[in-house]
Amino acid sequence: MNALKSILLVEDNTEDVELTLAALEQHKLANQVVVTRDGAEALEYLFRRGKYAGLPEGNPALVLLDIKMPKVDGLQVLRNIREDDKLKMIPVVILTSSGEERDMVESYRLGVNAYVVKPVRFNAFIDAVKELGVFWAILNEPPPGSISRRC
Amino acid sequence: MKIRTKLALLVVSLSAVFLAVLLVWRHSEKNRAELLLRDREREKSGFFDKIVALRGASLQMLAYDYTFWDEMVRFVSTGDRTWAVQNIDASLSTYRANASWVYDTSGRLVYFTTDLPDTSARQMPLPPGVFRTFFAREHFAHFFLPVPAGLLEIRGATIHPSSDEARKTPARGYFFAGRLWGLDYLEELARLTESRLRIRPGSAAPQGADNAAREAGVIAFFRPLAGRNGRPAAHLEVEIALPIVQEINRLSKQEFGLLILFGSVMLAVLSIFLMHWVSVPLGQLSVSLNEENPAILSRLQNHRSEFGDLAGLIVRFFEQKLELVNEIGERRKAEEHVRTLNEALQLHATQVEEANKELESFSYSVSHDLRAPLRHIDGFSELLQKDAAAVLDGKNLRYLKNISSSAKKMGCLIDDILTFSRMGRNEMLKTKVNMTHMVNEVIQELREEMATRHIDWQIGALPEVEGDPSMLRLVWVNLLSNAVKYTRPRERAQIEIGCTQENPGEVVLFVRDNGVGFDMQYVEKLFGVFRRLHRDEEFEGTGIGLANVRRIISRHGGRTWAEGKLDSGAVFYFSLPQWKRVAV
Repeated sequence: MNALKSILLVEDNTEDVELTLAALEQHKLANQVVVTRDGAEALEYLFRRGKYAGLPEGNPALVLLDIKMPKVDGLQVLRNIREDDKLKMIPVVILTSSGEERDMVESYRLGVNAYVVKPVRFNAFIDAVKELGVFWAILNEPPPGSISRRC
Repeated sequence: MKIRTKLALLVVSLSAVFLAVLLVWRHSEKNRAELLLRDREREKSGFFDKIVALRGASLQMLAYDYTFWDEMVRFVSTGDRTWAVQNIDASLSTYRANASWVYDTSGRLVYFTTDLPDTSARQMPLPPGVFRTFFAREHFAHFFLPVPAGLLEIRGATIHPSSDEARKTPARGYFFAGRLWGLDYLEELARLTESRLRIRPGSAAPQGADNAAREAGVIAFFRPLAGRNGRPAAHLEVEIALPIVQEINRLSKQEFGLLILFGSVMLAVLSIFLMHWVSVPLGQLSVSLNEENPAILSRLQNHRSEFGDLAGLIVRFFEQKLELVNEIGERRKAEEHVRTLNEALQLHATQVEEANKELESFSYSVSHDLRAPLRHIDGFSELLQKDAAAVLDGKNLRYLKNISSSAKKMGCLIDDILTFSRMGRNEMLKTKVNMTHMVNEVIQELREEMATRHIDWQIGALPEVEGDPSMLRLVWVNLLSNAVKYTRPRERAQIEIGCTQENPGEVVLFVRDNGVGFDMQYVEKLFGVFRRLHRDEEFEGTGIGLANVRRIISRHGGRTWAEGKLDSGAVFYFSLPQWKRVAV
């Protein structure tokens, strides 16, 4: 069972999106990534509303979620996911620059699966993203109802 | 009831008792006077009666002697006027009589004589037929007869011969002698009996003497003067003045008056002194207490009496009260001041809290927003290096590396300043901390760094202190890693950790090394944020460690200081409050 699963990256910062994709690219994971640029867009995607209204059913195998974003922040997105019956089983990993304790505590309280502080050093960042991608998109069995995107 | 009223009542009741005693005394005096009066009355009236009887005796004797005489028997039958003038008329002055009548047995007037100018008594209104019945039982008669000149006392007797001593034989005639109770006679009687006499005509008994007269020491009584028919023809009113009784009454009245005066004066004096000694001081005390005015007592408190003592106490009480009131006022003011200060402090605390929140959100932004661009700089220079390594020369590659290391350095600075900020605002969890354990643990952690080094550790006895363990741990990490770092040039590093106690309740811990030391003129810069005395190439570091130490220690209520000499090692000290066993 080696099929690649889709990943939803929620990140407002262009540079971060590019660096994250570059990191995933090095491990051939980039093709499975859907990028949304803020919390509101992420929720539209997950609930198939607005410009994502026509999407076929199925949840991403993993959501990589930034916290500090315009419109709707990451913690609110996490809260909505956990409150929805269809979405609440999706694995969510917070990927953020903030090492603040209160963010970490609040995330775990809302039921996040992992909390990763983005390392300043690029090499360390690449390692972190790689491990995340490999674990969640390849090793981990997603809950039923997740969609796979093949190349 | 007020004392003043009670005192007044006391005085009034004393007056009443005194008056009652006086009245009782006066009553008994009167009784005594009355007894005396009665006694004197009895004596006087007896005396009076005797005198009157004595004066009347001559008239009685006249009637007795002239009717027991043979010549008189003969005269009744002869009517010899010459004998009558010689014997009967002459007897009037001898026996002090004023008139004489001689009747024969048939009731015919044989002879009448009088020395009175008024001769209306010539016909004694005795009907001639009554003589026999008049003298039926007695041979003598005695009665009074009112005549125009006054009242005549009349004594009569039956006439008998001298041989008939017992007057057994029938009467040979009737003889009457009269004496006028005129003014002269009454005056004489009055003189003899020391009395005042008055004839009160009429048969009815007059009213007795009034009390007023008795009070004045005058006794009065009446003597009925029997008329011809036995009923009183008049009454003799007798008034006898008793000067001794009058005197006694006068003296008694005087005494009574004097006693009343004496009593009144005594009571007045008593009242005045009671007022002066009790009522007035009491009133002053009461008014002073009621009006809360001690000035009223200024004179009273100098008195050497219980009231003076009391006044002194009250004045002192008011002084103390005033002091207390002032003190309370001052205390209120002080409390008001404290409250104002507290409010200001509260406001200040709120402002500080707001500033802290702002600082927190600022440092949150720093941690999130400032690190992101750094990560991007590093990320893209890394990507560039990877992609363009083949086309770049050595110099350009070095530039790229410099970009990376600068970004890394900046990341470290940001992390340090975040830590420093957290040290300032994180809540402290104070507990008992064993310094020996903590120091040994920290040294264990530094082992890796010291793997190639030769270090002599000298660890003295360390105390238990009260503090936040994670913060104190950071203090030791900073101080010990500094000691290790700055002894790097030494072949044999010597690091000593110890404790001294200078003040009670406070311990001083120190870390001494034989490292590169420092110039004492820069000593205060050591503890500043990002202040360094060495270049990065000599000793790496951001310059935040000692700033953190100072901040943590000062939050524990301690001090931090250092001693050093360039190239001869350094000592870093910090003080902490000692762990108090009783505080557990």
